[in-house]
Amino acid sequence: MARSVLGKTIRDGRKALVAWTYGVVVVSVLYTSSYKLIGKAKGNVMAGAPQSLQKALGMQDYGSPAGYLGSTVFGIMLAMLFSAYALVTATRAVAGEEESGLLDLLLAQPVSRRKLVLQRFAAMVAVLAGFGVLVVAALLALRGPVGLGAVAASGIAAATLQLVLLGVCTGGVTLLVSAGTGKRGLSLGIGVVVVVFGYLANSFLPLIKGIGGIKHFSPFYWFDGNTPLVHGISASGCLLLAGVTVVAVVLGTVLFERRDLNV
Amino acid sequence: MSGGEAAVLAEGLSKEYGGGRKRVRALDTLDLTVRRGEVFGYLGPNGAGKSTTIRMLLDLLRPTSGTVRVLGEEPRSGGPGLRRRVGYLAGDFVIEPRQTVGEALRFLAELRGGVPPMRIEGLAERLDLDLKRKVRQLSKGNRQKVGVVQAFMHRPELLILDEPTSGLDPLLQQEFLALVREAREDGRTVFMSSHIMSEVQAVADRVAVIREGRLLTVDTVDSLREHAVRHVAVRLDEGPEEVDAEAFARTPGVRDLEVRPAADAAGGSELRCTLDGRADGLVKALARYGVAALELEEPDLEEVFFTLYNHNGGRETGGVTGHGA
Ligand SMILES: Nc1ncnc2c1ncn2[C@@H]1O[C@H](COP(=O)(O)OP(=O)(O)OP(=O)(O)O)[C@@H](O)[C@H]1O
Ligand SMILES: [Mg+2]
Repeated sequence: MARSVLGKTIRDGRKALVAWTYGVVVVSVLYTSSYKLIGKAKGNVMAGAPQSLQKALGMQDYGSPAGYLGSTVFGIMLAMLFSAYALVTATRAVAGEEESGLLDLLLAQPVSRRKLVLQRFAAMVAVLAGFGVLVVAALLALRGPVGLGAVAASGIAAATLQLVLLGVCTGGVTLLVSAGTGKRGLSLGIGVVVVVFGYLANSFLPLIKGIGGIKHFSPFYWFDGNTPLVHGISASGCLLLAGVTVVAVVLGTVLFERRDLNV
Repeated sequence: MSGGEAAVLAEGLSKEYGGGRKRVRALDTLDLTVRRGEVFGYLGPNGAGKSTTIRMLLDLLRPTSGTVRVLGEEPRSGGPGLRRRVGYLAGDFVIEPRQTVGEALRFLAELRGGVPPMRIEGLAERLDLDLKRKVRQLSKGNRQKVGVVQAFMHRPELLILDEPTSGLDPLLQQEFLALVREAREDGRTVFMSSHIMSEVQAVADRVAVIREGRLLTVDTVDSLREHAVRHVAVRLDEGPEEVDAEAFARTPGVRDLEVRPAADAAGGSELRCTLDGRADGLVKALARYGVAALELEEPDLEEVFFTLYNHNGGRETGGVTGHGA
């Protein structure tokens, strides 16, 4: 019984999943293989911009291999793709199906609410991890031929792990609202707010005098604040991402177990 | 199986929706016992609280106060183990549209720990349901059949059916009622809600009637039928002047009597009245005349409620008017 809910969750979303996978692969491959074409040129353009703006856009080091990857593949595009996938999936997992009436049937079966939430969360984590494997595979295959060989495989693995954790964290927080309230709009809305705030708090907001420290509250900072491509895994970043996720998912599950199911 | 316990037991069961000003009391201190092995009808107009009650039995909703036991267990603590013994058809049955009927049913069967494929095929055949169609392509009635199959397929001890025949054509309603009878013959319990009196009368042993969240009565079908108001229209050979209207009006149970010339000017008359309770007096009074045609209209629910209110000491009569004796 347990396995069938998990399997079904993944199977039901398979068409959309193909599209997401396609997006992840295309972004990874296109950015990586354009290094020779645009890397150097863009580096030069950005060299004229103020240091703070470059930093906000994550482009202070566009010309170096790690700097290039950090501001393209591991810049905003994949972070947004992973977050968006997590947000949409976590919203549908409970609130979406609940509002469409589908959950009524499922929860009248011998399925516990806790298992339903946890398995759907697990399915989401598995898919995000799969995305991560694809990213690592694409980069490892391409980095030599396109001249990004200077970036260590361990750096790529660390950055990807933190990227996956960013997605998982976004999904976990969204699942808290999705399972805790059963309201689809609220779940999507709060998920988007978390992502947008997280991004801004790690890019533009710290430029404002006096609130530079705000970035420490941003999942995006936990994800790439330590420049994992160069420095490897950040224990504190990973712990924060995972910790927030665990708290959110546990809380969401408890709330879901306690409340009424809406139709 | 814990044999001695009631299939469903509710004590002082109440449910409120929302909080603060928007608070709605959908169910008010309901006491109800459904015995094992009986077919129990749960009757009430729209918004009476039927689905609210049923969703609490499945642990989809939690009671605001009071207790409820299903097959001897509390729905929440009973959890998946309890729901394995129950079959449920929701009032608005929704199922994932992007799959075939067969896939959907096999998935649900798997969740229940397996159902012989023959059983699913047999039920589908009886209800004339095509297992290869996509759920998305099904008409409302056919989708309802999927709901019926999934509720019955694992032969649960207790069937909880919320307006199970909605959307089914008369032929399939009959087939459905046959399924219910078979379930009873097997010793299973059926708890079904409806707002159609006649459908419940056809299968139920006992009936509870609720309205505005309150239980009006629990009774056997026979006794409920006896209390029900029916509209009677009789075509007599004799003209109006030959009919002793007074005698009819004195007959026990006859109200709102009206005798007038028959519409087709063939010389006969037409007698209309409402009949409350036993038909005996009226039939004997009619025997003196030539009865060309007799029409008996089954009571609708509003009228059943009206009589119930009267028998219960004439509490508020809701929207029912024009039934003064
Ligand atoms: N989620 C909800 N929030 C607020 N009020 C609700 C909710 N669900 C039901 N109600 C109210 O509770 C009352 C009982 O509703 P319920 O669905 O139990 O009626 P019902 O007997 O099943 O009616 P029907 O025959 O139309 O299916 C109604 O007044 C309804 O408006
Ligand atoms: Mg209902």
